[in-house]
Amino acid sequence: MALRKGQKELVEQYRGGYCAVPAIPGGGKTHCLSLWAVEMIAQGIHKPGKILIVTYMNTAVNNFKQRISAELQKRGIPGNKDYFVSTIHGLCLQIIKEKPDLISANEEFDIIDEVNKAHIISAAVLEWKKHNGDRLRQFVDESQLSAGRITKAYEDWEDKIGIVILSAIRDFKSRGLSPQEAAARCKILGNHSMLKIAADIYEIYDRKLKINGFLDFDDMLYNAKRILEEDESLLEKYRKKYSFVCEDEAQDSNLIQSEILTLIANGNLLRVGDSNQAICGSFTSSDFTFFKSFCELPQTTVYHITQSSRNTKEIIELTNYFVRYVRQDHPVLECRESLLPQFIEPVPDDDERRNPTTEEYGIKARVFNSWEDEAAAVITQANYLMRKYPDKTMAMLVPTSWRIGYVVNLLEARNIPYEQLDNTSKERNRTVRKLGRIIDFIALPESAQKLADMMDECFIPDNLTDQHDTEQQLEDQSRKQHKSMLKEFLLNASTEKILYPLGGEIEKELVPEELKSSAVWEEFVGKLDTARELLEFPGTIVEKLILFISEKLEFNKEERAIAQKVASDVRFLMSQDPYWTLSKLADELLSSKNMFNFFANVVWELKGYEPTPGKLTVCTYHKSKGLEWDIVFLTGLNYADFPVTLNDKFIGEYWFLKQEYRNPQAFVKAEIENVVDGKQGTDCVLSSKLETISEKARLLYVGITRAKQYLFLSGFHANPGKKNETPPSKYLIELKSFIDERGSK
Amino acid sequence: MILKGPTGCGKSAILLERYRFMVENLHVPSEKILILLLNRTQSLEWRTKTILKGSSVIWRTSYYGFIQGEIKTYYPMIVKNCKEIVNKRIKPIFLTFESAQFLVSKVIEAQRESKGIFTGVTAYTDRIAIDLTANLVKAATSDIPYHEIGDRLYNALELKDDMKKQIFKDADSILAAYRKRCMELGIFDFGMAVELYNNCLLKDENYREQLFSRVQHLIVDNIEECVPTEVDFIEYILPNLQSCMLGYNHEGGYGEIFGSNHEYVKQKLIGKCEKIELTKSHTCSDFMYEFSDMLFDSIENIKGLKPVEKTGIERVPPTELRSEMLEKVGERVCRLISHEGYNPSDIAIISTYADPVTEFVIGRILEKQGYQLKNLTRKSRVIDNPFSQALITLAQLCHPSYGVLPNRDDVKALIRLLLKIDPVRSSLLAGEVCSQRPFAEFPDVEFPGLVERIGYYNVEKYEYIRTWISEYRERPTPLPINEFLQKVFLEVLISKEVTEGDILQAKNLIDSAQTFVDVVSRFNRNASRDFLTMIRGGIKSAESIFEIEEKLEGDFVLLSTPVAYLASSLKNKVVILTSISSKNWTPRSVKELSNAHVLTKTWNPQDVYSEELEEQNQKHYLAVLMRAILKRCKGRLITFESNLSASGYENDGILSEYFDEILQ
Repeated sequence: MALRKGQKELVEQYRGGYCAVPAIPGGGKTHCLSLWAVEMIAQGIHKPGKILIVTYMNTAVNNFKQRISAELQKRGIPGNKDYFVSTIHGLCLQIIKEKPDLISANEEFDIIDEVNKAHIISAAVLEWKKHNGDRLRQFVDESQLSAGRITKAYEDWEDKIGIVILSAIRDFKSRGLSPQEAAARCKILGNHSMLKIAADIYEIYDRKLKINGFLDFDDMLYNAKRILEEDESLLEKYRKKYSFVCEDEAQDSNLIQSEILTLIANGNLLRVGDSNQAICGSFTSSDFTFFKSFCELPQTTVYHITQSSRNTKEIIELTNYFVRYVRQDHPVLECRESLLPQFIEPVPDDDERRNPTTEEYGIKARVFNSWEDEAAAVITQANYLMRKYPDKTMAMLVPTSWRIGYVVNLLEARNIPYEQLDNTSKERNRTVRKLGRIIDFIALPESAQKLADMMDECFIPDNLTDQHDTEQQLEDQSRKQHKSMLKEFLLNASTEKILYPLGGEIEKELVPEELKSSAVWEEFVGKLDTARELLEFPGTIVEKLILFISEKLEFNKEERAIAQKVASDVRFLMSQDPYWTLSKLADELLSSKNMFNFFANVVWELKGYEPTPGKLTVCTYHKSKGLEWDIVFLTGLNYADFPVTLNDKFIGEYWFLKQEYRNPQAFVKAEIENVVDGKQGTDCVLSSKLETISEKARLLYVGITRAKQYLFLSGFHANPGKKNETPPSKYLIELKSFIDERGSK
Repeated sequence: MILKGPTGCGKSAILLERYRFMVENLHVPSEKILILLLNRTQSLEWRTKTILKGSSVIWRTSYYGFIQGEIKTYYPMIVKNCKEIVNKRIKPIFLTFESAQFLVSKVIEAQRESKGIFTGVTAYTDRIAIDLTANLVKAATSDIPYHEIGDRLYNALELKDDMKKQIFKDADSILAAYRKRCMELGIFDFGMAVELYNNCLLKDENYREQLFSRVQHLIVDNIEECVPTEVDFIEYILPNLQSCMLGYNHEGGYGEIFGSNHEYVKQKLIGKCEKIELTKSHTCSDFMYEFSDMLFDSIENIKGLKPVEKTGIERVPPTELRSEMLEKVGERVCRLISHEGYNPSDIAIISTYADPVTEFVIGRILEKQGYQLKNLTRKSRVIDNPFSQALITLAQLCHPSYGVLPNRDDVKALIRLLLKIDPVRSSLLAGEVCSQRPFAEFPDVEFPGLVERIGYYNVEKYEYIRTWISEYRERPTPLPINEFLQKVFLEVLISKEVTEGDILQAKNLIDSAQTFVDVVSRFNRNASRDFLTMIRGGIKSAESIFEIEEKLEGDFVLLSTPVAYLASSLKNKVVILTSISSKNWTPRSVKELSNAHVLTKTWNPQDVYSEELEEQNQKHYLAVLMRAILKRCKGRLITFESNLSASGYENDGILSEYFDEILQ
């Protein structure tokens, strides 16, 4: 494929020093970055070190690896060890593993996952409460609550405080403050200070983390940087090891990440990114201004990638209109800089890959009366388009994960094929879930419910083929019926009479006639032996039991990898908690957020995500980053998820707190800035709102640019005129009038 | 005299032959010959071969075994010379590593939560306990006073700060308190035993006289793996011996992480003895002999040759996931046996962590083809054996006051084992047992609703156990756990179906309970209860010499860690190295609380242990290890690797890079 403006310069000219490549969405960053790496390897310019590429997600890591290795192979160059692609966390882990003793960590330390982190922070809050009584209650606004609701408010607050504290801890860590140092800084604050409470709990949290052998993600970044700074020889080693450092998605970099890469790069630093797609600020401490200022350094060579053939010219026009709107007409002056004046250019007509076209104007916008109406209408439309364009890929972007849950339920009820892009999605969790179902049954085999659930989920599939013609659908229907008959039957029987009947066979008269003559029953009887084998397998060595299950269920390669991981962790879990039981293990495995999510995702992402036609992909706006589909639905464009003015509703505000604490995260952030950085009088609530508005504008920008041919924007206006009115986002109104006008031409 | 030569040159055979000659031809009384060996597998080799006509008592032991024996025999002398032992009337006891770690971890656990000791250390308490107890042993065997451990480690740090200083102080004070208490009570671990032997026996003139008259000849194999105090001991008695034969593998020294000190051996012994050099190795092919030296040179940065012929080495390209790699290993092994004419026992699979998952995954693939895999590494826990677990569960049921009640899974397993009921009905019954109040117990058979679902299975046996437990619970005082286990074993568990293996396991369990109770009850703790807690925590099971022997001699494919493999005397036609891109091949010797190289005699306490040195040491370790493994490979070497580690992170160890380089 020929290289375009910006790409060509990078691949042919960049051979060292600082270089930045600001690239518009669809500009082919991965493609040209991979080609650049191959070119370097082909010419041996990187020798004796390697090229390090740091990107943001495991899928992206695999994407890079596959492209580079394919290109090297094509050109017949051996060099698979000349480059190393990693996430920033992978890189930091590698650095710390070099010398865990430097930070007094045992080499077997583990990276804490979200589930354990939530456990530990709530345990820490609880311990703190034991000694500090009701100090948390002072923040609740009791004046406007009835007696009955006060208790609920306290509960809600205690539920949320963990998130607030964790964000404060992250802010402490990003400033390099240990728990002891944080406590010392906060000593002067009174008992009414939320930051002081956070500092106290930080100490407890940190102790618990360490006793359990855990580091968290922030510790990793912070400690990796510290090690590199303190240990010259290690830094030297890394500089030798990686002669070129390349950062993908540089707009999402945070200060520490930036510092680490700059340290290692030793002058040869290439950063590729798009400031307009910086969407990680609110849950990491990332800040897209780092990339912007890197571009502005006098020693940085900048190659702009401005052409894209991803979208139709109409979609490009809408995108550029949106950028212009934000920069010129955004109602909040301070937010006009949230998008940089980077306009997308379609490729010239003589380009070998031209922008796609559609027969009619392919963009529509609509406002519904409620979220329920909107979701239902979008799904109907998607289903219709799936039949009309069986070869096109499509996605539905949804602002929050709870809304995804709602959409997924609708899709299942309507039997529409879909795929969920989410760390906790059913598909990714399937293996762990199956293991959980079976162990749950083994732990309590007399439970009819558990036997029925196991049979239903692990042994008797819903349908036997993926085809969806009418005949097949009828068959699926009757199969479903038989399955539910079987379930009914099992739930009402005693499991010992099913699995170990005294006469040697299940008493025939107990089984309904129709069920007895069905294929489902035959399958069921066939699986009883396996169920018995699983039950009778010696349970003392749980890891072997798990591997045995994996064998009996004929797991595929990826599933086996996950089962092995579960098996090796089990031994360890049991040694940490002697009272660990099979039931507890089953509970963990069956929960959608479990300690194996990380590994399951690693395995899953090795396969990579390729959108498949005939299936609707459902994901959050955030997860859509880096992906593209022929048809895209942008949903949930309402004022809380995409606020435009300062009077809009903001997520993260708690109604039950006193006015000044309504946004506790912002409040604590301001307290830190005050106490640690010495900044005075920042209006924390205002600045947090401005930040949110800006980021959401960029999030919408990302969403719009995912669509190649057709784009549908929607939101809802619920309860107009009432107290709980939920208006659509002003962006939707603004874009809708533009779209309606263009569409009518 | 020193017999010097590489692996497989026949040193051990000559030492044995020499022993035979002394006893049979020279008629040296066998009790005057002290044979010091490295470990139990070595001892096994010697066991059968040292029983000769005309020999009386055979004095064949390890260094630790020797010291224990001497302390026991001459304890009155020790008590006289040692001020620290308070309770002088009771017999000395020796701590196993497990009991020592348990005791130390209990102390740390309490102080970590309440007093906040070890602030800043990210590690489990039992890991810290392992490091601290190991430090104590290493210091003692290197003749370093225990109260200097912390300072020595701290001084060697490249980057010092107050937090770390405090951490080592905490470690010192924990160790000092633990050691003091042990000494007072007459309980000794390896380190303390060495200290006592050196300070209270060897310095005693009477003892020395007796020692010299008792030991007239000395045979030691693998002196390169000796700890420094053992070297000192050999050097010390050397002038008084009539003869001394030392086996020395100059290419050895892989045990430095465990406290041996090759450098010290060279300084102290090598120059003092007459040497016989053996050069030819009989355990590996000529090609592998040369290749092992080339790889050694390459890792040690010595510009050397590269192999011209590479057919003896097969490198399987990396898989993405570790699980895929394990499966490929299994499949390859099957092909070696079924298509390429190898016997299972010709093949050894070396894995840096030969855990149950590795064992099971490869084992199952082999099993399907009718072959067997045995894991040489001791990794199984006591409670992995259903029979031992049943013993423990019964102990928990009989002692509700200990507060360590069995869980439902355990009771279910117990019922299945005892009453032979199917798992569903066992589980029903277990549910009833566990829900009894105030404590779990076997309910009356006529318990409402129970018989209907469970039926009348083995009612007699059920009633027998039920009565047995309730009668036991009525005792005014419980039996010590070892006696209890013995009783319950004989009165409840023993039956026709019990296998020899089960009995062996039970015996091991009862023995370790006995030792544990002896030790811990002196600390005024409830030893029986502690024992149950420790077992539930998953401590490893002891392995009898018979089990080891079985593993070494059958027609199995062998799975082993590199060190366990080298500690055996096995040689194989095919050696398979797994996960060679993993970092586990070069373990770091600096840990958060220890450093194997600093707690040695050859370390200068004023020096700083730099990263450069660490890198050198890691490479040296890898070089020595690989050379020793390859010298045991008679035919082919096959390597496997995966891009991702078991936990899903990128592998970037150096071993595979050396293979790349040398085979390029």
